[in-house]
Amino acid sequence: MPGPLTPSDWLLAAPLLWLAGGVVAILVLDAFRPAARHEAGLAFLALLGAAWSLWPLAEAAGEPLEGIPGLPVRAFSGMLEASPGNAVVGLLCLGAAALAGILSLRSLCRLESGRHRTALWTLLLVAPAGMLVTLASSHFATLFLGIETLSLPLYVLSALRRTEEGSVEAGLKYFLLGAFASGFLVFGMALLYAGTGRMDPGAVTAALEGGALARAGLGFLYAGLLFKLAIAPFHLWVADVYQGAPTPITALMAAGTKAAAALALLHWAPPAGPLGSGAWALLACATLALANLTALNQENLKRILALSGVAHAGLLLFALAALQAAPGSGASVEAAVNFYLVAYGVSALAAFGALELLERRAGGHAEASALRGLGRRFPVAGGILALAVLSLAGIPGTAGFLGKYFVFAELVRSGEVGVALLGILLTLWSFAYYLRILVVLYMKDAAPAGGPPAVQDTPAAVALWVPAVLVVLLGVWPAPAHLL
Amino acid sequence: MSDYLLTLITFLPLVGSVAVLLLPKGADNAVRWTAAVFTGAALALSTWLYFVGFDDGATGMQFVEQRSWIPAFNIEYFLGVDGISLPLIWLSALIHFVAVFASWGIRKSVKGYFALLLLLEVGVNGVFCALDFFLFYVFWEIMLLPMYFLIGIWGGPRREYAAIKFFLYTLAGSVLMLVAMVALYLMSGNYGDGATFNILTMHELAGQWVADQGTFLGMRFTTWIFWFLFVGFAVKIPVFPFHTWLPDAHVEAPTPISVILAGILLKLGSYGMLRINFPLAPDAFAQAADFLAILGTINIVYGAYVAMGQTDFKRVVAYSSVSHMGYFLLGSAAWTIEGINGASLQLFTHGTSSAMLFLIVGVVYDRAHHRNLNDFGGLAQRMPFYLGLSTIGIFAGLGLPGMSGFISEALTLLGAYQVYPVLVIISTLGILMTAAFLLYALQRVFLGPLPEKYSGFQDINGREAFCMIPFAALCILVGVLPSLVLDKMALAIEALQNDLAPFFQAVAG
Repeated sequence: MPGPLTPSDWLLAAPLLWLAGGVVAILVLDAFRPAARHEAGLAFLALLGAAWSLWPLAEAAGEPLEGIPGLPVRAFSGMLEASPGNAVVGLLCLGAAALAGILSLRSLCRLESGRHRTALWTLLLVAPAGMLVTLASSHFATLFLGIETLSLPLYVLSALRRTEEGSVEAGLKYFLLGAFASGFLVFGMALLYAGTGRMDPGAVTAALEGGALARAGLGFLYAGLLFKLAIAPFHLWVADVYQGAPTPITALMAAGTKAAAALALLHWAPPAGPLGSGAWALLACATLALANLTALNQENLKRILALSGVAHAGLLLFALAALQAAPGSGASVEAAVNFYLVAYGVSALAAFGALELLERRAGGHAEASALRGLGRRFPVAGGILALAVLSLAGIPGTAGFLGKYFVFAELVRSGEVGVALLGILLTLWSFAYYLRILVVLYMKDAAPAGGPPAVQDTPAAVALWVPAVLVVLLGVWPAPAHLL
Repeated sequence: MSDYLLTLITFLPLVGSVAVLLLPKGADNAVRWTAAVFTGAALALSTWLYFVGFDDGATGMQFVEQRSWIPAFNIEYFLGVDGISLPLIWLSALIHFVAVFASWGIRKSVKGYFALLLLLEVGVNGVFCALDFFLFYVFWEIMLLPMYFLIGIWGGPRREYAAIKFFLYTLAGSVLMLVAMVALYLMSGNYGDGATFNILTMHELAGQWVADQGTFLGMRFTTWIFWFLFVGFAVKIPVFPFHTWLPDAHVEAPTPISVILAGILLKLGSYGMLRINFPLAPDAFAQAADFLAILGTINIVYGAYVAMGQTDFKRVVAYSSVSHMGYFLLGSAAWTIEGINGASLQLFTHGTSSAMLFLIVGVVYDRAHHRNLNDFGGLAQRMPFYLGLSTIGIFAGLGLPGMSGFISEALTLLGAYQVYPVLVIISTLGILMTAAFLLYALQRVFLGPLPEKYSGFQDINGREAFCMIPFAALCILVGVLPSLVLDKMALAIEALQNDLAPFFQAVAG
């Protein structure tokens, strides 16, 4: 029998209630006094409230919270489970939504005289709610709910520029393939339940010892999750969707969806044993190699960054491989993954955000030829993009380097030195296309200015400093974020 | 102040870099003077450190700063200076200070240029001061980026190619270093008080992990640690066959960047070998010494041989750098006191003479806008003062007695002769060829009839002279009074030599 809500339940429900409250408030207000300012204001208020209610958990390093038995916090009879590190990643998702919102203020909000404004602001609150549920899911119901709640808004948001072919294609492609993935996911859950009779992460352990039915279910479950995380061979949608979607939405997808899906995968990862680390390491290497190979040939900076995201997701699987190889390392691997997700997230936000600003100067194009020399003409946006690219590449002094370092250190610690070496070499390969972005931005002579002059976007230019500063700050002072 | 001296020397340029970025657009002169003030401050502090603060008679690290940085991995902010790093820190401060004045004529994106130049100094000074391997690695990589941009944006016609080649070569090397670093960190966890990146602690532990080492992929632990680190550092020196990025980078880089590259960046690889590579895998070093000596000889002879065939003045000087850095390898492979002293002194003397040579090339390039040696001649008639300074630089470069290059090369060969007499005899060929190509270059630039198109050339101006005179003075001063540098290094080198000598005896025995 479900009793009254415990403090733990409230703690994990509060951010969701803030977001849901924001959605309802926006919809109600829209019926009576439609105005852009109100909607944006309410949306930011809801995101702020959600972050504020998540903060105590994110801050609780090592010490249990008042009235809550131990960490990680388990809520709703164990359907949700979150550690302080997960909460930090949750904050990242909220921040990503906020940044996407700020970047949209002067662009997406004004599309077709603001007809899609309400949809934009409500969906920008629903998507992070789905991410928060996904990353804390420890039951089939919450996992599925979370993934659907984060995906559906993104399908719509990707297609928000409905007069542009690319955007519509992105939305449709994402939707169709995403629906397949959801099908896999739910089918896998059904088989797992049929085979093991469980719906919590324990089902994975039971399935590995169980029959063919449950094992097949496990395969479907992982296929669904790996699709969301964009791991080869389920990564083919990424470049098209990221390119076609409006750039602020791409930023949200890159930082938020990836983080949520990765933590879900970590929660649902099989315990060490039968599956072994080899499978994960192989997937990781294949993903890195394919992403690198594809990225080398791209002309569009958004596609390059999208494929860089695929490579980063692949790198995360090395952490799973480390977990498999050294069973006792759960806490430190989870810390490494949390840090990695935050590091990648802030770098991707800075990269896509700065790219959005540069794109507007280049008449809406993200082709290398259109962005030639823009880094020198627009030193702030160009500098932030360059910094973010360096962080994605993993240059010391940036968050990205430490993220990669922590993951590879876990791998070496678990005894997989050969795999680590291979992974580092694959990472090195990726420098080729990261450098290309820098060459385009700085070393080519500027393209003639085309298109109408861009609107001065002060809020976006100011907001971009947040991820940019975090990239450097986490790169030189990772202690607070890493120890969670 | 002396508690934070090394931090100040390392990070003052960073403050300068930020200050430069905050200056308004178009304030080019303010930018230049800001850069000059901050590099000047770092130079003043390191001069104080060199002549006053540093105690020649004390062993071990001085001016140590040690604080926890990333506790989860026991990574520390750990700085210190000893006789091996001291001359290089001072040289770095001097070269960056001079480079600011040599860059006065840069017109393209002045703010960005000086901000990157100052950032480069942070990385270089940091590498020489860092005693925590992780910190060392961070500084090592920080240095890579400004250099990449400085070549790639302000370079010559093939700048993109040269910049990417430089970047990829160095990066490939540093990735190997990264793997070795993590392995050493984990190895150190098996002894003493848990895993550490502390270079000095690793140095003490080295004997233990040599004694009971395991294997990895069929090779002994120290063997692959040694080779990973060696390749990482060798790229930077550069050791044959990893040297091909150097001439390209030099030819495309603007003059001041070439000065920094030859003057101090090439020394980082050699410093890394002395500080990390050799002491942390001593048995593998002793076993590989013969091979390293051969590589050093190849560098000396091959570098000089290729330099003879060049017509681009800058390429001549670039290959002469390859040749000169070979002495370091030959001298340290012999691992005698004289050899190591000579090798370390060579780092300092080559830093001054090569910086000088690149400034000399810069002067003619600024006037003629080309560097083709066959197209010059007779400049002595128009530029007598320039001829005088150039002669000092070139004679220092070819190791004339009384000049700094002579002392370091003679010491190196003296030290190496005790172990590798045949290689030393072969490498004297390099000296001969170096004299040949440098004098031939001097002749083609200054002597003979003056072509009509060069008759309007002005002799070097005050700023150019200001850049060259410190190096000219050092070339002569260290040639006459080598003890100015050798006394600083003596104790540190003796201690290092003593520590590793048993491994050489083990190989010989």
